[in-house]
Amino acid sequence: MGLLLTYFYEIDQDAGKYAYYGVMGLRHRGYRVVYAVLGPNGFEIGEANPWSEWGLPSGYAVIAGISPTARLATSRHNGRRVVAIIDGPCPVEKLAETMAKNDLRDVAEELVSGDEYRWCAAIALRSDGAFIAGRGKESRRPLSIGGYGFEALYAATETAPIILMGGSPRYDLGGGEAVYGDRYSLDRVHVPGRRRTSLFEYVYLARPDSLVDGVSVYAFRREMGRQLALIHDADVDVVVGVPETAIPYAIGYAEAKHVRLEQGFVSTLGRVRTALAPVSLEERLMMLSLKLNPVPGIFEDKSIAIVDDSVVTGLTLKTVIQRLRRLHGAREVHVAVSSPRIISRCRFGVQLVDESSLIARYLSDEDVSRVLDADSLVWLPLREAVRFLREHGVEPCTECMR
Amino acid sequence: MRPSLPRVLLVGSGAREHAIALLLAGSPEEPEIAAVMDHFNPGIAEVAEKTGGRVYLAKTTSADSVLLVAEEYSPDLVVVGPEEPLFAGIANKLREKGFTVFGPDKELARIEKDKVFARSLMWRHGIPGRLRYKAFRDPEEASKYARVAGDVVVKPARQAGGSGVRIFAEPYEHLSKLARSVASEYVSAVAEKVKAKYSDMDYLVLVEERVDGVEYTVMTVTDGDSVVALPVVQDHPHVYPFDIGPETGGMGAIAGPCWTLPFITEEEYSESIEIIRKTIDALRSEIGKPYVGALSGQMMLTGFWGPTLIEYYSRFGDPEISALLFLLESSFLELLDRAASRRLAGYKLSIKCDQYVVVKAVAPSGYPLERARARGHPVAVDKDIVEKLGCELLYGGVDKNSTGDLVSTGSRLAEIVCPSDKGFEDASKRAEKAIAGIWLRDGHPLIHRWDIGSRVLLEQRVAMARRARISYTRRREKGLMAIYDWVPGQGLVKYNYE
Repeated sequence: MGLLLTYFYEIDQDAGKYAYYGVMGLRHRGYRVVYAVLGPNGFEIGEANPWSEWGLPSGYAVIAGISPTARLATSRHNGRRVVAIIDGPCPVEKLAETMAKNDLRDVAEELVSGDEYRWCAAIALRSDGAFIAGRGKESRRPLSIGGYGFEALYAATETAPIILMGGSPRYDLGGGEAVYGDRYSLDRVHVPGRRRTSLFEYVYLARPDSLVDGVSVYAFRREMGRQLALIHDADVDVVVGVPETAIPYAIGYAEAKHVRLEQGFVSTLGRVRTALAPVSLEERLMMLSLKLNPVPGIFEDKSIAIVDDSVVTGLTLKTVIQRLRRLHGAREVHVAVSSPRIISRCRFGVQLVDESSLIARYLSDEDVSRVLDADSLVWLPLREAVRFLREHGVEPCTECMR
Repeated sequence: MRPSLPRVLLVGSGAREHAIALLLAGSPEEPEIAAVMDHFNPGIAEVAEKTGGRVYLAKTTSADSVLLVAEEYSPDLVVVGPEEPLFAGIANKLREKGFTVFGPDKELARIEKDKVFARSLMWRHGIPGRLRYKAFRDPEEASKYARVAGDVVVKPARQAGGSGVRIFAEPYEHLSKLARSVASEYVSAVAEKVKAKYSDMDYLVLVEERVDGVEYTVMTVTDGDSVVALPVVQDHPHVYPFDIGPETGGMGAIAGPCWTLPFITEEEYSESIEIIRKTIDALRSEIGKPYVGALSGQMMLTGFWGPTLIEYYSRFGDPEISALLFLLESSFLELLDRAASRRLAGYKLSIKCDQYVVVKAVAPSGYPLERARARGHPVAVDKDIVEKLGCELLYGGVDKNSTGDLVSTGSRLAEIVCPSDKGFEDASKRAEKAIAGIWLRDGHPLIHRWDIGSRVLLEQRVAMARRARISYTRRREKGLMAIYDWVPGQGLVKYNYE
């Protein structure tokens, strides 16, 4: 669920040391990274858990992807080796093979215009130092290009990793656009395409300190929080964000409702995306109580608005609401979900939820409210999110939402 | 041939000198133009032929060779284009022999050649827009310093054709150890290189504080007393689009409309000119001679001080001067001649205010990292394609090989200059089309930057300049013209920039 390219123009430079921070800037997207590092003696390929102690080998160029949706493949032809990583349901083996055999420009053209790559984003490196980074013509995945002084070219799914590697974001690829080159050139191909970037990127996946397709993720979330407040027919005294990734929405919500925003919870785990963690139900519940310990006193006899940034099974929210009612004396608990209803698994692999666990797919809002034991419930209106992004030149994909 | 026509001898063989030749040829005085060049530039040769002049091939860094040519041709004015002949004292020699020369004596051209001299002059005379620096004679000492300094720019102490400068940015502390160890290795490598190559330097390497901001160039013409500023031009030093990749001598430029660019205010332009004027005065007082020629400032609008001087050029910038081809209204000959003969007082330059100009350099793939790859490819040109679009083609890194064919020298091959009264994007689009007018016969690829003049790039510059302006305006309003550091154990250190 994320891609990275770190390409240094001087081959004695160690891109691995910089790419390490780039991957750290993507690790909120998943628990496993696959990578290939190119040095004077060829490729080193590996994988790691970026939440553990880890590191990258030395080399002047690195590509990396957050698995499981990002997949790596290699190919060899006439002594040239290629490593490709594709994010999304597109044939990564084919891309690697094409790049091993063909002229770079032809590969780039195939990537941006070929139907089999249309949904995906891809990066690839060849042993002769050639690279490519591009988006299929209706790619759901964003990709930004950046530079680091006179030293390096960077590419990443969102802009925060580029900045963490010391670089500056310079250009956001559109749908059907790729850059390719080596030490001696940097070119671009562009076919008519659209920025069909997934709405899930803005709603949930990207960091609030990133731009995605040139749109500030933070500004999007705060504005959506405002929109939620405007349609939420609830009298509240206090607003809290659950978990802390929902805070930009909660800020907008509180601003529009003219009520106090409080830090409702303290995490013992740091910024972990429990929804993405590869753990059992029991473990997830354990993580929740560690992640969401309520601050005493602020809920007592108050009408609370909880702004949550995604509801899948509703389990997190239900647990929190119960705790606020049982132990913290909350009078009313109103729920504002800052994502539209998620009703199916993403066929492009942007989210990998189990469809049978999607509460919004099976229950009416009324029943969801009953399950959560909430006094009221609103979801982010899809049209508001789409309208906001259209105004910024993005035509978001909303296939899994309602 | 009418004997009354002024005769000009141009020294140099690059795209800059081609631009100067065209600017001179366009002057109403209709001068006859001859050129002395190191390698054969067909564009300059064409201007010489059309104006009734001729070309000489000679080593332009040899004062005796150039003098021989000058004595044979007997020009009314000699214009020295590149810096190396100036460093070699060509202007001194010709002046001694009574020629009227546009181009500073070598003691004054030191402002470009010797980076330590330039920075220290600024501090001695309190010239605004200066940066903190430290100069080293010993590679090891330099390396030690770079290891602790952090967030620095490393420059060879001697001008080396726009290359050798590397920036070790530390926008984040987590990168500092990494950046410092690379900087430390690089600084000693540069020092060893300068030591081995040049025997004419006190210092080997300069480590300077790094600043952020928007870069632009202000070129001036001076006779040592009066200063005439040319319009602001922006160069593009990165080799690849989006400002990515290694540093080059400049992959293109934009200028217009009128005196300044959309992201530099009139006031910032005036302050930049003032920096150059003060430099000319400082040189006069230290060297005891007037600076006669072009003095240019590669500037940066920084959040610290506003207009800040990055480097001086003792000549016109390349590709910056090319933009003037479609902006100048006055006689270029009169401008250079009045400067050279020290009669510049009262001169008023006029330019066109409805033109946007885009310059794009074209280079053989391989430039700048491996010039051997870029060298020796046969060059083909269809000037019709360029001229039909209203553009101009300037020859740069080309030469005749032993069989008389035009081949690439490994540097920037040519420049395409296009004007528009509609905007930069229109000029840029035309330049993109005009680039089809030059190619390499053996199919070796050419590179250029298609993003120069694009809206995306311009918007980035505007945003960057706005941020810098917010920051330096606050400093000025509060009168904060010093930087304070506190080093545990050493106490408070004040750097006064007033």
